[in-house]
Amino acid sequence: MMKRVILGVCIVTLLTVSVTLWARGSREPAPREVQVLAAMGGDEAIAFGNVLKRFTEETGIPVMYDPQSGDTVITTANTRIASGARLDVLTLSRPGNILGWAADGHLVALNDGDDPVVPAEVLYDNFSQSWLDLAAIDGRYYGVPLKAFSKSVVWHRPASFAQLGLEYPETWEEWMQVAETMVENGRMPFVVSGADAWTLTDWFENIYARVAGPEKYNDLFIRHGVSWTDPTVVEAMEYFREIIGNDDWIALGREGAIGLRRDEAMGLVLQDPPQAEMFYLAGFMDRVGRANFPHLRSGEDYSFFPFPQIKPEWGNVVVGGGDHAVAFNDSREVRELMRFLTKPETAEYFGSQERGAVISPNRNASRRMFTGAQRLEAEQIDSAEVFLFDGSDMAPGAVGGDAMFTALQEFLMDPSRLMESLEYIEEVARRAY
Amino acid sequence: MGTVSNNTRGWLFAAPVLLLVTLYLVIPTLWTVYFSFFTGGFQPDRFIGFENFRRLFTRDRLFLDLSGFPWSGALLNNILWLVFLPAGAIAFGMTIAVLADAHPWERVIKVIVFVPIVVSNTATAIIFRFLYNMNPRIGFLNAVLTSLGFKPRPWLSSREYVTFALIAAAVWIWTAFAMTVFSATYKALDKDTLQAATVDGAGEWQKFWLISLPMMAHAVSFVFITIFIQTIKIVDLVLVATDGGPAGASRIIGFSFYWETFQNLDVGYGSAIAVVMLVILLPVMVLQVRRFKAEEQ
Repeated sequence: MMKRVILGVCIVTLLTVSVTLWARGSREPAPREVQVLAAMGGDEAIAFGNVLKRFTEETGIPVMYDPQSGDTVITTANTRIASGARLDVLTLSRPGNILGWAADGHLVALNDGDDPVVPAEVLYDNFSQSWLDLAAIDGRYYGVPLKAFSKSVVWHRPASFAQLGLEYPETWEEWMQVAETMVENGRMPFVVSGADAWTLTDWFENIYARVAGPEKYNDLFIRHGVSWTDPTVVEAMEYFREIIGNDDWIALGREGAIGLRRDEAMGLVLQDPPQAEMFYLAGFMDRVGRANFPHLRSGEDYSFFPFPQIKPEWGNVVVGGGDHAVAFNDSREVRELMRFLTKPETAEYFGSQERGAVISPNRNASRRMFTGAQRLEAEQIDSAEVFLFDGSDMAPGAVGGDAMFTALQEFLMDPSRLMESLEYIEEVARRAY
Repeated sequence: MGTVSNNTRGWLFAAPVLLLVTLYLVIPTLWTVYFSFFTGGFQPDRFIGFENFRRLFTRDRLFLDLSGFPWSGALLNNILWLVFLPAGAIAFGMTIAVLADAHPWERVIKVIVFVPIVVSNTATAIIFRFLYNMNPRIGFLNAVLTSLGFKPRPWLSSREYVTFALIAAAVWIWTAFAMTVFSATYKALDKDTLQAATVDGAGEWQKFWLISLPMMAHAVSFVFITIFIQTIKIVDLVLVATDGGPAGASRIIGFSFYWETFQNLDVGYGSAIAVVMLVILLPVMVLQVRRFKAEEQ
C-alpha cells in the first residue's frame, strides 16, 4: 500500500515538473505592447491604424494606438515626458518639436551604435538626405519620414478655366491677370480661409520662398537669421496684399474670410454654382473633395495647378510638409516597429488605403496606387527642384503657432497694418529663439 | 479607543482628505507660484523675478492692450464675461423660473431650458460655430438675417462681436443652472406671505420685486458666485469655437493660461497667468467660505 502511494506521488511529481519545464521552454517572454501616439485625424488616422494592425499581424507585437490632433499630440507628449509616463513612438509634422526633444535627450538616435535601431544605409536607401536632415542633429537621425504632402497647390474647377478660355498661370503676373479676367466675367476669383490661421502662414511661406529663395527661407524660420521686418519679408507681404487687399477679390470679403474654416472654403469652390474659383491650400484637401463632393471626380471635375512662380531664379519650388515617426524608447518591440515603418512595402500599404491614403517620402515606394489629384500631388513632390518644409512648423511654437497666426489674421482683417503685424512677430521671435 | 483623545480622532478622520488636498491642490498651487518667477518649460530654467508679470501687464498686447481705444486683451474680455455672463444667466434664469412656475407647460419649458446643462462646452462651441456661421447656407442666425433683408454678420470673426457672441453661448448654458436653483427656491418660498400681500392689494410685479426677490437673495448670490468662478476658468468654449481668434480678439484669461503653457510651452509665463487667476478668485473664495460658515451657525 505504502509503495503504491510513494509511486503515485513520484509519478505526479514527475509529470508536474516535466509539464512545467515544457511549458516554460516553449514560451518566449510575451512581447511588450508598443505605445504609439500619432498626430493624425479622420480617415488618415484610420488608415494609419490599419498600417499598425498589419504590423501586429506580421510580428505578433501588440500596439496601443492613440491618434490625436497635431496640437494635442504635442501637449500629451510633453506631459508624458514631464511626468515620466511611458511613450514609445510618436508621429508628428513639426520638426522643431522633434529636434527640441532630441536635444533634450528624450529621443533614440536611429543610426547610433553597433546595433542601430535602423542602420544608416537603410535610411539612405529609402529616403532623400533632405528628408532625413529635417529630424537629424550632427548626423544622428531621429525620425523615419512617414508622410509627405504639398502645400503649393491651387484648387479650382478646370471647367471654369475652359469656359473663360483661361490658361493656368505660371507666374504671379499671369495669376493676377487670371483673377482680373474672372472678375470681369462676374466670377469671384479667390477664397481665403482665415479661421484656421495656419492656412495664412502657408500663403506667406509660399510667397516668401518664391521671393527670397530657399536659403533665406530656412534662415528666417529655423534660425531667425533674417528679421521679420527685413525688406524681403515686407516684399512678400506686399505680394500677399495684392490679393487680400482687394475686398472684391475674396469670397465673403475679408470679414467673411477671417471666419472661414478650410473645409468650408474648399466647399465654396466645389459647390454648384461655385462661390469662388480658386482656393490655395494643401494637397490633402483632396480628401475633403472626395468626402463631401463624391459626385465630383478628383483630378477632373476639380483639380489643382502649382502655386505660380514669382522670381524665376529660385526655380521650381514646392513648399510642403510631412510627418516623421520618432522613438522615445529603445526596445525589441520599438525597433521592430521603426524598421517596419522604414519599408517601402509599408509605405505602399499606407498609400493604397481606400480612404486616408498618404504619399510617402520613401523613394522606393511605388506611386501607382494613387488616383486623381493625389497622383498629381505625388508627381509634384517627386519632381520638385527645391522642396521646402513648412516654415511655421519648423519655427518655435510661440512664433509658428501663435505670433504668426495672430499677426497674419490681423493683416487679413486690416491689410494696412503690414508693419505692425511684422513687428509683432519679430518681437515674439526675439524671445523665442 | 478610549485612549485616543477627541482632538486626535478628528485629525485622523480628516487625514485622508487633508492628504489629498495637500497633494493635488496645495502643492501644485505653490509650485505654480514658484514657476511664475522662472522661464523655461516644465523644468524651471532661469529665475527672472517678476519679469513674467511685467511682460503680462505691459508688453503682451493680447493679454492687456491699453494703447488704443477701445482697450482690449484677454483681461478686459474677461471683465466683459464677468459682467455679462452672470447678469445674463441670472436674468434669464430668474425670468423663466418665475414665469414658468405653475404654468401648465412648466415641465416642458423647464426640460427644454435644462438641456444645455448636460451638453459639454465643447459640443456647445461646435453648435454655436454652426449657428454663427457667416455663410447663410450654414449659419442659422445669418440665414434669418438675410431672409429679413439684412447683410450676414461675421459673428465669430470680427473683433466687435466675437466676445459677445461667445458670452451669449455661455449664457445659454448657465441659464439652465440659474433656472434650476431659482425654481427650487421659488417653490420653497413662504406662500402665506405672498397671499397676505395679495390680500393687501399688491400687484404681481410688486410681489416679485419687494417680497420674492429679497427672499431669494441668498440663491442669487450663490448662483452669482458659482458662475463667477466658472467664468474665470473657461478655456474649452473659446478654444473650440474660435481658437481665441480672430487675431487673439476673443482670448480670456483661462484661454491665455492654456495657450501659453501648452501651445507655446512657456510654462513660467503660463504660471504667471494662473497666479493672476488665483488673485482674482481668492476674494470670491474667501467670501464663499465665510458664507458657508455663517450658514452653519
